[in-house]
Amino acid sequence: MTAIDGAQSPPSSPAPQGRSLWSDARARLMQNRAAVASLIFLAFLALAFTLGRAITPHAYDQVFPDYVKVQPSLKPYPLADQIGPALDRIVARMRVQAVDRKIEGDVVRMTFESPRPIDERLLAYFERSDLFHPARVVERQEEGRRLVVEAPIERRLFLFGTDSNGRDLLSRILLAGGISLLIGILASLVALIIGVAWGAIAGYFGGRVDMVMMRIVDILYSLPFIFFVILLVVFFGRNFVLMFIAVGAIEWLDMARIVRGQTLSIKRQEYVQAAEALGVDSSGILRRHIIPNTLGPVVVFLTLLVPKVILLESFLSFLGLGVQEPMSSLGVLISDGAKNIQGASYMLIAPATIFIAMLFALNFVGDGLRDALDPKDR
Amino acid sequence: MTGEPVLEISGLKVVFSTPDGPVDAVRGVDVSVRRGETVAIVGESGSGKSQMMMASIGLLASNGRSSGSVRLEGREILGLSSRELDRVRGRRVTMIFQEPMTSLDPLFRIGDQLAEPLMVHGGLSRGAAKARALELLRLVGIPEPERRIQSYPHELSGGQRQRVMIAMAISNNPAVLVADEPTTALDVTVQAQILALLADLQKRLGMAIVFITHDLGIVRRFADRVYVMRRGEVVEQGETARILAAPQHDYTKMLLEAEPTGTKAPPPADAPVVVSARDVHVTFKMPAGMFKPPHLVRAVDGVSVELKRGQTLGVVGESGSGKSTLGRAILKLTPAAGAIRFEDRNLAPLDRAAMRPLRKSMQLVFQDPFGSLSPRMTVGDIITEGLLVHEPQIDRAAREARAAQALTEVGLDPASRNRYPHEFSGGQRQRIAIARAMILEPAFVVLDEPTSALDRSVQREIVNLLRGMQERRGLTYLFISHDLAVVRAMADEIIVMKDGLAVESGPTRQIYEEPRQDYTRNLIAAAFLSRRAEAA
Amino acid sequence: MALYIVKRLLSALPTLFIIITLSFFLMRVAPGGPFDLERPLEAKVMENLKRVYQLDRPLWEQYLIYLKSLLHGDLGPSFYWRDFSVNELFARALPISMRIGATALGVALVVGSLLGALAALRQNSAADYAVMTGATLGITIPTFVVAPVLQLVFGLALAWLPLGGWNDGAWRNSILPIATLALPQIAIIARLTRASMIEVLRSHHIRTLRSQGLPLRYVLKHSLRAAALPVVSYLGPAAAALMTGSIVVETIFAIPGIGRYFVDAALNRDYTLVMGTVILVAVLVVLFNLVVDLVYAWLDPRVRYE
Repeated sequence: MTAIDGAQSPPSSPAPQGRSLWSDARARLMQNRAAVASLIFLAFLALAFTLGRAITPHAYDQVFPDYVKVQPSLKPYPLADQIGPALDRIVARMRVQAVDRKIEGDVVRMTFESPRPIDERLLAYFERSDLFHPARVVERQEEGRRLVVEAPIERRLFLFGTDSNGRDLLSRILLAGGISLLIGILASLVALIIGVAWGAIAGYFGGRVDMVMMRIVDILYSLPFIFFVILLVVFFGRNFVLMFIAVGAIEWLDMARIVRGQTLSIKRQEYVQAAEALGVDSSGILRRHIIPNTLGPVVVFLTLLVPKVILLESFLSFLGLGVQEPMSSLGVLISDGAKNIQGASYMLIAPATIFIAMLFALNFVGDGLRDALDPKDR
Repeated sequence: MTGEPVLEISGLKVVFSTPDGPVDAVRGVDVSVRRGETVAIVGESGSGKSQMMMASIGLLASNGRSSGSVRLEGREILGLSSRELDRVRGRRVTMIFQEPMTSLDPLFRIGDQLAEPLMVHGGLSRGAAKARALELLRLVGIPEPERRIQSYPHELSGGQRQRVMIAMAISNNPAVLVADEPTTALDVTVQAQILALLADLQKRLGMAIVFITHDLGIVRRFADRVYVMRRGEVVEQGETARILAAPQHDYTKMLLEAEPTGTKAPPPADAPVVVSARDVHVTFKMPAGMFKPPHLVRAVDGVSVELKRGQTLGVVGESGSGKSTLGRAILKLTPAAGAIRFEDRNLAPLDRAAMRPLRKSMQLVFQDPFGSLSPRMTVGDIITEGLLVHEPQIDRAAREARAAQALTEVGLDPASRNRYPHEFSGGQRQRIAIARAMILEPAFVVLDEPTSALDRSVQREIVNLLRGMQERRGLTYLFISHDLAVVRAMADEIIVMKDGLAVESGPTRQIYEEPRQDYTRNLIAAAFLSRRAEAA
Repeated sequence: MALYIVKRLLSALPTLFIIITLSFFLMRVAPGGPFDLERPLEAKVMENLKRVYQLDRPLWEQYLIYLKSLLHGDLGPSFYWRDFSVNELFARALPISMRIGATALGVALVVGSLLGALAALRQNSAADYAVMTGATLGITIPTFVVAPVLQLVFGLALAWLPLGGWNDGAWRNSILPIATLALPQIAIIARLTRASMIEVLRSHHIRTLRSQGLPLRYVLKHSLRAAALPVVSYLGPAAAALMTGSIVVETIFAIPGIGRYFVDAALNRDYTLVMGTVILVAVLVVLFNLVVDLVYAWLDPRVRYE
């Protein structure tokens, strides 16, 4: 109790750690099964979008003219009934006659005949086809007018099928998912930075500053912004950076309002007045009291903003104003799929499922965070 | 008065299922209320007194379960379906609540809200119900009832809203009226009027009243019998006079003694003046509404104070009287006009930055122990924040040591400095807030209702703590409160404020014993200060 | 009241002016023009066209001319549909868009608040979970997925409804577009209603009703009105969302409304039509927000301005 004792010797026993609101919130979040499952799912998606492309056998922009719009399949292509027609096409191009053909396991053995000697360079047609490895001459008969050729079949796996250009849909989905998520996160960060700075300044300083800043937000609010974004994109070309600047520029308005409201209410809290009474300066109050306490709603809004931005991006992509070929986003794939809904419905189903699952998971995480950070029924 | 029992609660238990497991709020209580009598249920917060009555009439929150028996006029009502309960509630038993500001629907007119129970239970037509609503408003003493019946709740004061609630509650002549701290949120003078109204209505209508309260003054004035509750159990019951005169249970004794007692010795006459403020004016400019022009509110209108070293000046008044604003104006936390001096310095010309070094010597403790501590900082960080500003040279270990020392001084375990405010009770939080102010070793502290949000027994501890610190350190206090009992125990001198003006001032004893102004007299009468003398 | 409306409308004028100026210069500084076709026009023809449409004047002069004609309520001639003025195009397109949008909003309000109220009253029941899952789906599935799926199911597989087209507003043609437009709004309104209703049901004044033994229909009467407030505030953003949605819906279902004109106009650099659409949408948003505020004030006496 005496002043001197306490001041000279440091406290003997280490004080136990308390439960902070953050750790409380984390514990509550971990109890929310939907949110945890969504987090795991999102982590898996993020991993697939970044590393998955290295594992898939096909590059996202590799075109297989022989495999346009093939159905998703667990069995590798070519299917048995595709080999015959493909061989017919090759034979037709080589302008020779096929007198005999046998398919033995993974190898096609054919015998060609022609009135004139057959140019072996014509065998390149096998190589050009997506179905076969380079062919090899096994036997040359009748001075080259009769060739026995073996061509190994090239097995390719298209788990998700291919698109209307004959590109592997799985690779494209992984690419597109990554880009959609990236746009979602980057644009949300743009919104976050502008919105938090704008809102915190307006809310903390109040008065005339607040009035002017919020008046600007009000005016921007009543602009039909989506039309401006379309104008921007149409007139200034489609590029990635413009895209998320445009999207981020719409969404910061909400963020600014939320942060301002939050700041205003925190500013009225007695603990901020107490800090003022202690003589703490503005930056200390902002740093220690206002920002940590606005963080909760901001984090929640951010997680809910990412799916919103992804939706907005997909909307622009649908109008053909989004990400450009050969890059892709889920919005591009979905709008492709929507055009091919008859006949190749998998082209819609696969990306749309991933898209919806991703947005679902993001929403669950956002809702879970909100419940965890703002437990009303405590 | 001694009729047959109208409400009989026996073996009532209430359990809430929470994420941290089940919580027993009420652990088997027996309460019996006879026709026409007034029974008080007394206890501090968390004693289960409200939940017991809520459970009895089926108003528990969805995570609460009740068991036992509740018989109203001989009929078991616990466990009735909500449809069956609706035939009992509002008709035979009704309840009014602590929160008059939010208990009425803000979107509907008073008259319509009053008419609904009359139409449902009394079978009146809309017109007849409206006419009866008007009578009821007149009965509960609402001025201009013809006009008020068309009003929305936000156009009424807190006291008027509570009158409307009472009108609604008595509209179908219930046998039992449960009143859950109906006056706690109101100013003392309004509180007295509402209590008088309830007593008068009871006399006229002959209903039984179950009065849930923490305030023994109200019990003494009002109740025939008392049940004392603690931690979900009834610890003592009996006739009011007997319980108050000869309490048996330790807890009851503690409650009775919890009222802050004693007075403070005045400082020596030659003590130096620490703070003086002359002719302080604070004016707020209210912004224009959608259709309202901007207007000025004089929160403090020419008040002068002078505080000597070791002195406590009490500032009393009802809500809106400007007493808190005065405290903030003296600390220069609110822009104010007038000459304010601290020790030998004139504060008037100083701006925020220039005031900063002086803040070390002039501190503030707030009313709300929940709002005044930053929820995301540890207690240690909260207490030592002032040291960061005023003694930046000391290192973290030294700050920790100072925090531990400050916590010890306010009677808390120094090991709790790494915990967070939400892990403490209200009284403990108020101690933390005091530690935060005292660690800077100020000369002058403004105490803005530091005890108002606390239970009586905790209030007493805080009062003792504050008085002890003052004695040891020779502190000067400006003690702001609406609670006259606490002020009497703390202050040497008092000023009484009303509408921004100081209507009366003088030594504490003089104010309490020979008040010159009607307003002061009303305040004192309403606060039941004679109750200790009565009971003795 | 009338004064308030006039004040609000006047305060919207600067905003409109900014929108007009911004979009005017934004378009003009961007590369490309209305007559830059794939096959370049002859210089002579080009010159003629530019003269007719006053594109040969300096930019500021064009701007002043445009503002002047705006003051007369004239949105100018369309550069792409050269036989029509923008006013004429709007006279045909606006009623179509409005009809679809208003019906969708009405459907969304009724269905959404009913579902939301049901979920709130039966909190944590199977019905609640079903509504909330459906609502989350409704928010996450983009309109341009819903539309083709509806076309596939009702247009092709079942062949109950036409795939698209307007057909002079035959009701069969408008069902799918309205459904597509309404679905996400139903989802949002259901979520909003549920959340606010749950909060209202916990409030003190509902406790008062229960302590007075008032039956469920009174509880509903009071809680629905209170729960309606956030829904009403959402109507402003909802109207904006409907306009965005109409771009997709009108494109997919081949409906000659404002949204479709806008995209075509932007792609064809039809300056006046783009400007006209932007101004029209801005005016609609301003008007709608005003109506929303008036309805809010009517519902909530605390914000009434007398």
